[in-house]
Amino acid sequence: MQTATDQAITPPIRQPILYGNWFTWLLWGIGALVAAALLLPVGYLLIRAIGAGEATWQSLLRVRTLETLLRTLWLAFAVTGAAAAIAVPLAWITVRTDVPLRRLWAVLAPLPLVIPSYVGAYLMVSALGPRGLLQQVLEGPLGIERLPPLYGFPGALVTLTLLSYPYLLLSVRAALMRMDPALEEASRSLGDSAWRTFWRVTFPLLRPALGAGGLLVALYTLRDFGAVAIMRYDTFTRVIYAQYQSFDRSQAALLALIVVAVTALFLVLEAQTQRRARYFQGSTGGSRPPTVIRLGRWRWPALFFCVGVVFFSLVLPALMLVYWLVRGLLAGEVVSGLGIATWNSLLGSGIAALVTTLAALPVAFLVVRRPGWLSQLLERLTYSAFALPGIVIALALVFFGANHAPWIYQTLPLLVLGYGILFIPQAVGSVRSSLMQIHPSLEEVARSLGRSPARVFATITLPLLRPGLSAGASLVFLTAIKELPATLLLAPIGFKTLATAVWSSVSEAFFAAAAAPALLIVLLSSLPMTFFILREQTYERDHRPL
Amino acid sequence: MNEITVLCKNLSKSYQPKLAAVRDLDLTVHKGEIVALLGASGCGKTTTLRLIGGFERPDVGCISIGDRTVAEGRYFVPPEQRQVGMVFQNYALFPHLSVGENVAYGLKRGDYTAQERQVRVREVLALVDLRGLETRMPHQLSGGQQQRVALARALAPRPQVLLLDEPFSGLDASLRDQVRGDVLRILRESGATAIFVTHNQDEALFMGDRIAVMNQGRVEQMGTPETVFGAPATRFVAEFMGAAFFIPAVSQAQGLETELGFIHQPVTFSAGTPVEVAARPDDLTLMPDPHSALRIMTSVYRGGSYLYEVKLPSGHLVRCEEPHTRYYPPGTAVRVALTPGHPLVYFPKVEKMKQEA
Repeated sequence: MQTATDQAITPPIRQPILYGNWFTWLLWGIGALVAAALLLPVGYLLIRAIGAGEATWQSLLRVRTLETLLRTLWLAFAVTGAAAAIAVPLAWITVRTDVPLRRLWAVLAPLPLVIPSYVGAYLMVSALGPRGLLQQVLEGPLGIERLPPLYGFPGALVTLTLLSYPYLLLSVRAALMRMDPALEEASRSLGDSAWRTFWRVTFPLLRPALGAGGLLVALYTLRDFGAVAIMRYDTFTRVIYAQYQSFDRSQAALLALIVVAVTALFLVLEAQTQRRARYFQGSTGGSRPPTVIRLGRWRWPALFFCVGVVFFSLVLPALMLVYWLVRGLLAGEVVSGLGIATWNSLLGSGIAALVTTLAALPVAFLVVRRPGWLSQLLERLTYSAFALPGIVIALALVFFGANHAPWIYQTLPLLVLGYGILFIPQAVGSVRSSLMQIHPSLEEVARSLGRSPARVFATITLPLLRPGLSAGASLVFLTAIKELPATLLLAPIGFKTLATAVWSSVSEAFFAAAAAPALLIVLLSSLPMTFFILREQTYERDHRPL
Repeated sequence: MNEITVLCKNLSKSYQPKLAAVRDLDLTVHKGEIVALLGASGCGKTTTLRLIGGFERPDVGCISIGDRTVAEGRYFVPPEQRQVGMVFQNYALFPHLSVGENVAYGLKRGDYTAQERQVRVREVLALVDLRGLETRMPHQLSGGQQQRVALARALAPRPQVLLLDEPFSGLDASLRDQVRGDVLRILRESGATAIFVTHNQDEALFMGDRIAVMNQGRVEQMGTPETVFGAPATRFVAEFMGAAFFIPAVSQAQGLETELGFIHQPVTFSAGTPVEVAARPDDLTLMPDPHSALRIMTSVYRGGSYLYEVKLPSGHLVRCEEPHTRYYPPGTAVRVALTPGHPLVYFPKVEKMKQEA
């Protein structure tokens, strides 16, 4: 069964373990530090919760907490369902059919990912909310003074769905593109129609992708602070923020722990899907591209669907952004402090990117080159932080800093630490996949030529890793620039960034003032997205018959 | 004449304009026959198979399976209504279904009761020698087992014809011979009509009742293994079917005049026509001769024999096979004689100049 393609996808053989040299100990040392930093927030929250007085526990066991829990779960569930209803047809249409302008939809549909939730919610509110653009337009000729309520659940649902469906779309698209067309052909030759084949073969094979993508959407909703805060829907993150601003902070710690528990539950559910998913990789991958289905007269409804999704998730927000920007400029509302906010954003995120990538390097190296339960644990740990809401991490660091490390509290290093804990998975992921492609034989050759492990690392591994390192660093940089709750809680007093500028303007309904920083954030976060889309397009082009 | 199961007429298919994958192809397969489509990669053999299976629409031509036309002009029967069983190169076992479910997949509820399905599944699994593996998942099987499941799945609904796309290319060389034998036995036992695609001559010779040698989208020659190997119709077939080389010759009334001497055999060309004789290493004998001007260039030990390469005065290289007991080092002066023991095939000489122009 060993064909050339098989060998190409098999992960490189692990290097024989050579423990005991100082270099390996150094790596483990850094790894331990990273682990300690990652364990700090949740660990500290646990300590706080255990030490909390009985009164705090009592106040937690109120109907309100249960209500918040149900609201949060209900929103996560509803958003995931709605996102799937958009993403699955869209993925299928853009991968498998001859819908007009198919490539264009494939490029545009994932783009809402670059819109941070607070920006999306801001644009939604300023367009459809009370005294928003739509109402102003309708009020004149039609005298409509009230629109259906947007605040609360509907607003949060619509905003989060339109922003997060790309997670499902991308994973389902990838699964559809990877799927061996011979499977569907086998089903057809065994007597099933195209429709039955979809339900008996294609859909079951998509289930792992749906599970993985759905988890991302659910976690996105669970984590979200910006959209629910602006839409005034009391999920955990908003309630925690309110508690944080009040004086009873120990209750916020307990609520944060509940969020941690819910996140863990989601992850366990997802792990179940993944375990089953292993069965789905039985056959060797197909080398042929997916077959294109001719839609006939169904082309037009399919086109309408694509246009609709792209319009509401992308065109409308973009138009709104430009509208407010122009209006603000015309009204002479010159964006005050934009320069300093931009500089602060670049500074905070830049340092975070550098530090986080440096911390990720030894972790990735241990995971790939020194496999074992300990390195696996370390890797799991880095990923666990990813699932946690920024507000939970930030809150824990605030408590810790205020109580035990006043010298770091309200300083830039604490903000960088927060960013690092939140975004290290992205750096580890990039470096790790880049490292996997460096075959250990290269390092082995260098060792056999008389170089020490550290020299090999410096002269062979590191230079080959450069693309992975820079990809990881830019991912961290661009995610950190978008991050709102951690910045709100951890930034030194008076340290205004682009994200907090948008937030404070929107909170006070200065929609025009929020436009310029929001636009800058969106433009900056588009950069890695463009890179990923280009790569997917190249892949598709190279694997499609002429 | 036997009953015809698959008939392709003037079949053409191109993916890009001006570059036909299959052109003007005719193919007839009789009931119960195993036909090999043999050719190098890109010769259109897989496209032919996919046209018959209904996964591609022909641009021109017609295909019929059994007594039914399945593609002609705009008329096109989709794969699910063609009653063809397809075994894919990578087997395409449904990874989310067990072996039993995979095999039962094509047995429609309307046509089989639950019990009949079970019986049939057991029957074909027994045929492919995989009794009792119904509950295994595809990823738990070895490559050879996966292949037999794919075969069982295709055979289960009793298709009119079985199509196999490079069925052995995914297997280790050591496993291939054995699986080949198994598959042949299974096909024979089930009485299936089968068309299989391969680029491997040995495989085609071993499995095929008839072989269709394909080149650039056409069938160059179709015939029994003996005919195709022993009496190739074109220079391409001669070259493709086995390590043949060509010796220039001139036709005479009684035979062919070559650099290596005269061969007595019936000749159809008029005397004096320049031709090329196709020969294989076993058609030549080699003898040490200190007076000869010919020298052994290289010798390759092949276990059972030595393969010697000798340069003729004209510059042509010939290869010669000798038993492993007769070793001559390179540089040995030798005499080479043509001793085929059967008439050799010859083709009109291809003008080098013309070819280049």
